[in-house]
Amino acid sequence: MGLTVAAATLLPLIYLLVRASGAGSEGWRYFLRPRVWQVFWNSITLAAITTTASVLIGVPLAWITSRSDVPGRRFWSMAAILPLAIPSYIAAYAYKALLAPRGMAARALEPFGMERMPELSGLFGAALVITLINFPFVVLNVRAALRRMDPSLEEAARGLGCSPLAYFRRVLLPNLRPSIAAGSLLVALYTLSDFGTPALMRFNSFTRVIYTQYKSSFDRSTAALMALMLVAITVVVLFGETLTRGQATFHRSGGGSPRPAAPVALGRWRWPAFGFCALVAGLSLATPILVIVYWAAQGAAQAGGIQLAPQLVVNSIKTATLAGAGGVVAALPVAFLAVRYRGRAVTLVDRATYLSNALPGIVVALALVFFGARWLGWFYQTLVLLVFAYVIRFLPQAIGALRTSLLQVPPRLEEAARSLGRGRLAAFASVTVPLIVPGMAAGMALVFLTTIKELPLTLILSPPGFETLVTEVWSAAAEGLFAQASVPALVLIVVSAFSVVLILNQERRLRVTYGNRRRG
Amino acid sequence: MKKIGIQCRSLNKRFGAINAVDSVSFDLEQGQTLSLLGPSGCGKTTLLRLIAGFEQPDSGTIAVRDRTVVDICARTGNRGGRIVPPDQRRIGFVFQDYALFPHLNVRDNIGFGVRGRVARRKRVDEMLELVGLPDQGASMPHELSGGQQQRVALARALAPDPDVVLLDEPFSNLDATRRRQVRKELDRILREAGTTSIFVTHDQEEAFNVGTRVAVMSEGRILKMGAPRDVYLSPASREVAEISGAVNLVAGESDGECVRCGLGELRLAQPCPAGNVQLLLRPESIRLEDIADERSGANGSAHLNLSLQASAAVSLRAGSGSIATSGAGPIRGQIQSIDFHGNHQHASVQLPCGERLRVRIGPSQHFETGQNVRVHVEEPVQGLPH
Repeated sequence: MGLTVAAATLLPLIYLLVRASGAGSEGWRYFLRPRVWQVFWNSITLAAITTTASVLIGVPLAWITSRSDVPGRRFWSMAAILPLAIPSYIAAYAYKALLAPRGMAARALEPFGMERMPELSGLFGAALVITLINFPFVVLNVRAALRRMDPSLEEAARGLGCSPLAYFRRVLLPNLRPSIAAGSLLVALYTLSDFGTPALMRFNSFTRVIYTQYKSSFDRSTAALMALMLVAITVVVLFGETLTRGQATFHRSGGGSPRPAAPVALGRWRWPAFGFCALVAGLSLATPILVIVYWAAQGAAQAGGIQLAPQLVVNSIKTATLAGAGGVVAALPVAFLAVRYRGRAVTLVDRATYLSNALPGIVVALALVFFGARWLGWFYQTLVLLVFAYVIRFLPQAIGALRTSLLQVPPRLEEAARSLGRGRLAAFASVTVPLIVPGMAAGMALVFLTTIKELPLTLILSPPGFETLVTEVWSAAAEGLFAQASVPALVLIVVSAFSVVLILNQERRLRVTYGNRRRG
Repeated sequence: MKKIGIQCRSLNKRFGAINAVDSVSFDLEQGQTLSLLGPSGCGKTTLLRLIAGFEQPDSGTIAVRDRTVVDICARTGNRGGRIVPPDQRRIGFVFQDYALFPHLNVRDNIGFGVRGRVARRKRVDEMLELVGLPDQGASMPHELSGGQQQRVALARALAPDPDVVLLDEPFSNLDATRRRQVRKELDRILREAGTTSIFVTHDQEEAFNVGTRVAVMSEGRILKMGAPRDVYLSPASREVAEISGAVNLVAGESDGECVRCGLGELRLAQPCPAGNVQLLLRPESIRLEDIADERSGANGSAHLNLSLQASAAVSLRAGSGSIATSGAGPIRGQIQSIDFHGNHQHASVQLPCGERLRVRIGPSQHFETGQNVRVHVEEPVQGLPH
């Protein structure tokens, strides 16, 4: 059963390979065109810029919000994570709405004779937006590493005659390096796979070019070839990520829970640090949200007011609910196998589902278009295929949630129930199920929330005429109808914030679980 | 013949290349407590899980009371075999980490295996009383201390009134002082309930203290099974002796009744065929005497202490023999090292013949490293043909 699920998640990718290789020699010559390499170069440059910028913002922010006495530390440490909750295409839309030729800033500056604002687009626009919503990956990783570090390390170093600067260079930085690497690779991965921002900023990265190729030309093989190139880069990055993750555990020597470190007094750097936090939060959180609220108010003031067609909401909820339920049902056997039975086949199944999650959404969408049109003719351009796509894309989240709760149900509990007179099924129903219901609910909620804001899959695989909150934001933003996009965008931000809170919560619980198991 | 509690016949279980349980056969009378003693990885937990039905043997039979619960023929394997699923075996199991259901409170945990609402309530009250937790019924498992959780696990296993209770290292998660207390409690509860039980441990003291019978296991086999005293005092093999406690091995030569060795001539507990033998000497069956005391007067105060020590050793081992003061006379040795442990000390003594002995003495005797002492051995001694 788990194998079936794994096969289902990998099939589209395999089919994409087949399809691309079917492009023939002409297709392969395509790789030699300068345009292709231009796109390749664009994507790499974008990823390099966003990653570097995220590290430069994220590392100091992580340190300030976890180890210093900056005013309002708790608030900033929340604010440093929350940008993750803004879907990238919504942030891009907000920045466009702020700086577009007839946008918000232009209107505000009109009385001063500035009629045209420099338009935010291209590499700079894409890099700015992606950095502003992805730097929290660096913050999260580095902060976790800082918390794991034993404060007596610092005391030991200082006791051995290290100056604060030498401590930073010789102790802190080497200890943080793995977490910085892990965080930046995540940023790079998301940059490569992000479709919304480059598309709205009209920057020719792989994702945008793949989409336009798919939309405009009849020969979809070239889109498939590009998608494969993108997959190749993604796999390289992924490989790097797993490599660093393997090394990323510097163990504290000695047991016991770590002593909380006393915050470092910043002295006269206190207010500059405060300013830095405020600037980052202002750009990454306040600006996009205020812009969208502004446009929503504008829309409300207009004749006719804001219209949010109820059908959009119904459609979004319907697909997301189906995907959530389907995701949990498909995840149950995989999670169960992965937790209860260790073995090579099981690990493979587990990895397969994760690989498909790491693939850019646009690639999965494209693969499913090919696969669906060829093999699932009946379902092509129906809700079934769309929901299937959501399920295989977000399956790992459901598996993660289920796994967390399954780990808390050791097989001995079922054995205990058996020895107390319950049959196999009765034991499962009376012991295991009540214990994993929260995990199932969490998994379903997660898939629901991520599905509802997913852009590329919805865009490409929705049946004709089927509109959701996402497609509404997308088409309105692409056409510059900022007011029209604002209300669904706000709804999506709220939904997305919930999903981020859920994911962070689940990660914490997983850590706690593992901690207990190690102690027991 | 008393009634059978558990009967195992030629049980076998392999995990890959490892023989976890290797042709194990034993009978346990109803109402008795068997301690399975052995180093970790010797297969004792697997044996327990076979009896409980969580694992199936490759071959062999298990009967609980008069009912065969597993009967698998070595030749035909599972086919035609008889396997009663764990839920129909009437066997209670106490897990090492207790495995209390985290979503149920203490009452619901204990009542889990009892059928019928009224019966369940009554039984749970009884069990709470029995394990001394009458006020904890509404608590959740995580609110209890380790010792309390252990008692709830025991109550849960006993509540359906099983024919047999199996306990898998039930004390390993408790600290040393709690352990002794809970062990006594468990002993009382099992005796009051009158249930046949098997109890797995790697702690020698625990095994001899709790079990009415002790079985020593190693590499999947039961090497010896018997009353605790018999197993400890007549281990019958070097391995059993080593698993059941510390032991000195001394080479000697037997003439049938006596052994000549580096400690002089010693009387054997059982006749041994003439030839090379190996003596098994427990550290507490040897006593040391200060040579200076001997010289200054046979009844010095230190000597009095020693006699007390010796008589304590004798009473501990209940009439196994007298101290060898006659015969070849005591042998001299030199103290190599002394380890003080509080309620006893371990001395390492070098004998002139080259043997080195580990000796357990009382805490008040004071020896220096390098000091010469007289070595007395309690007779008769255990010998194994070599």
